[in-house]
Amino acid sequence: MKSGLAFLALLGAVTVSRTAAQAPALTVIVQGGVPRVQTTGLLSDGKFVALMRSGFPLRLHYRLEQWRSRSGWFDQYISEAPWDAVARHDPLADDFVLIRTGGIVARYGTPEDLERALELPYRVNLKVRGSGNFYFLCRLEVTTLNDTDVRIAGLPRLTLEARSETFSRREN
Amino acid sequence: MRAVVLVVLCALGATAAAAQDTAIVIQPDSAGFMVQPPELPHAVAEDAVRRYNAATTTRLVGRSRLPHGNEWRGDVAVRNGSVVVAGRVEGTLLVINGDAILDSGAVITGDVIVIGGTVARRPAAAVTGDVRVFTAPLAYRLKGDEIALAPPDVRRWLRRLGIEKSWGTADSRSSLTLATGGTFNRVEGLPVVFGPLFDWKLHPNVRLRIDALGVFRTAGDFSHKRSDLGYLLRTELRAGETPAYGIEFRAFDDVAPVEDWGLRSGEVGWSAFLFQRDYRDYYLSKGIAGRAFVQPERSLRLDVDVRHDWQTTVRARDPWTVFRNDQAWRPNPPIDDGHYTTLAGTVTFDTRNDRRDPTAGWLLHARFENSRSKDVTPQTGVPRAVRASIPTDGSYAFSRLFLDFRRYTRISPSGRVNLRLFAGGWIGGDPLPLQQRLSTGGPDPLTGYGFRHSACSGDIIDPAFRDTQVAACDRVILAQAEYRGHLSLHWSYGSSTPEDEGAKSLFSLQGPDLVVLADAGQAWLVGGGPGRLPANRLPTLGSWLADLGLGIDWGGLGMYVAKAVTAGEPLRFTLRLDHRF
Repeated sequence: MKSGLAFLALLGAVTVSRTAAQAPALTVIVQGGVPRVQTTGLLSDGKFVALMRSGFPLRLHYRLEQWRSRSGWFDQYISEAPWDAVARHDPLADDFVLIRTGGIVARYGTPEDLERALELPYRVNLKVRGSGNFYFLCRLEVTTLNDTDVRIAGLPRLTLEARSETFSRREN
Repeated sequence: MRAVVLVVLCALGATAAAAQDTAIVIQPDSAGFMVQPPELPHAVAEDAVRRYNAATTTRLVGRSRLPHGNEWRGDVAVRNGSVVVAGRVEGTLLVINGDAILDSGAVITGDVIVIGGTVARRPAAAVTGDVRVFTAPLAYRLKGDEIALAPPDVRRWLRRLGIEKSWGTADSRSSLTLATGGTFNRVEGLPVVFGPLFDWKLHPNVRLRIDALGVFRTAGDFSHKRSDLGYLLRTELRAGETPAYGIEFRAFDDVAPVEDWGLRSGEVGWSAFLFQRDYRDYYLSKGIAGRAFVQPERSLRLDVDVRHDWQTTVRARDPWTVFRNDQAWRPNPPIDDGHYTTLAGTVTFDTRNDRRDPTAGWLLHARFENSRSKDVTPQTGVPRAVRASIPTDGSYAFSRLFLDFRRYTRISPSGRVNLRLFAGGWIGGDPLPLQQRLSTGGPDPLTGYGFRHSACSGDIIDPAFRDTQVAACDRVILAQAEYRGHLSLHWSYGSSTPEDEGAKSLFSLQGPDLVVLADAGQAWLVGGGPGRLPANRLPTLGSWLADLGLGIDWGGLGMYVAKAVTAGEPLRFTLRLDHRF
């Protein structure tokens, strides 16, 4: 009986874990003052894959903002770095094409491969200057290339936002 | 053995370390960093569709390859895939939403046109014609074996209903347009503009644009002084993108709004068309204007305008509306007719991170105007309690100044505070004419008050102004603040791995903004005597109108409820089609 309950609990935990893993998420991690931006689970619910198979290219627009945390109400906006990636489906080759910033083109045979490629983190060399407490805020908008039509048609559109931890920097 | 294990472990460790470092590096300062939002010129899109559908064009779909030693005769079009050419193409190669790779040995006797992709070519590849590349993709739909342009952007189309037929290339374009021009209103009904537009690239960095548009007013002749037709002739010569500078000349016969700083034009038009509530007044403006501008950097722009026009009163007509069609429209108030010459200077400093939906940055906008008239005919029904007499000896001159400062600030990951200070009105010279006077009240900017709650028109009892609610104040000041908190409908905490232990909670933003708003402002008459303030004074804070409210804003479409806090006004609801500011 106990083992049965344990199995059910384990099954439940795995299910919850899988559900949690499937939710699209965006993280910003700061390593040595340099932000790393990573998305996970963007394609896991299949909506965007179906959209790509229907001929709608996806546009991923990232905007990373650098902020100075201040003791008062208002934090200070310092700078930002936007970048893009475009993913589409090639119907004849039945594979997925991912075009990254700078025109780097890669092809992936399955949605899972594409998702793994999309989960590759970005290291953004957004320089932190001066002293104080800082954090990064990242916003990702996933749209089709003709996003205005999508909104009218009610097709999926996703916005994720994430904030890094606040870190201190002292300038000598 | 131990040594072998250590070597293997080191190798694995190095591999693991290398794997951990796998990341795409973004260099914000590098050139070509941003993939520009795609926008394909309409003429190019039409040209591509025409070429693809041509009976003589060989059509291919998906990834294609022409090996060395092989030949395609005639024009070839490839869609939805890249094409690798190592052989000979006796004609033009068109690639739609794919790349063209021209290997060594490739010979193309016509043009190479790539839309939604790039061209990579070896030096040995030969192209007799032009190579034209447009990175923006072509939005199309299939019609049997042929393709057609995808339906237009519905939102843009709704904003300016109309059709446009274009010819030419990306460098030079000619269009014939038939569209709505401006806003549905009680004076013109729905203005319809028609005519040609020309846009030429004179030089790699210089463009010339000419518009020659007629305006048909569906509500009929409203002035008895002219026909139902207006016009707008405009020519603009522009050099550069940033920095940029240019000049513009206009000749116009147009219906101009009085006080266009409140609700947006689209909101005013839809409100009038649906509910027969027109929140603006209008006058006819006919004349010529010139403008020079310089934009030394993206955030800064300077404009100088000169305008000479005949301004005259127009009456409200009775255009059809969806609701309340049987009710009478609010009369359009008369103005001080005459020929006016206006010199204006505008400075705009705009560091907002997004023009449509800003979350950070400043907008500072200042405009100074000086106007003169030698033949002004003042309305006699405006008492001296509202304004002093206007000279009719040819010396009439006045000045206005407008300041609009806005600050958009994020104070938390999902919270923002937006602030606005607006002030404007008479700054010197003779009293303002009626068409340049001001007011304040709902639905924008003081949502908690009725339309033109403060209009300084209480003493105007002349029958010509009956029920017009004419705006008659000299100055207006307004402060607005709003807190926007995003309602996250799909938010969850992400699991932390040792690597991202420091990362904070993850959340997605798919819901609307909850808006907490506060507005305060006043409009007043300048001068001595009861009900007036000296030119160097502002109204005391106790006399300001103020309101508090709540709202939901979903990408601009918003619903607000506000309550005036300084007067016994009822709770007011407002539906908006755009952000408040």
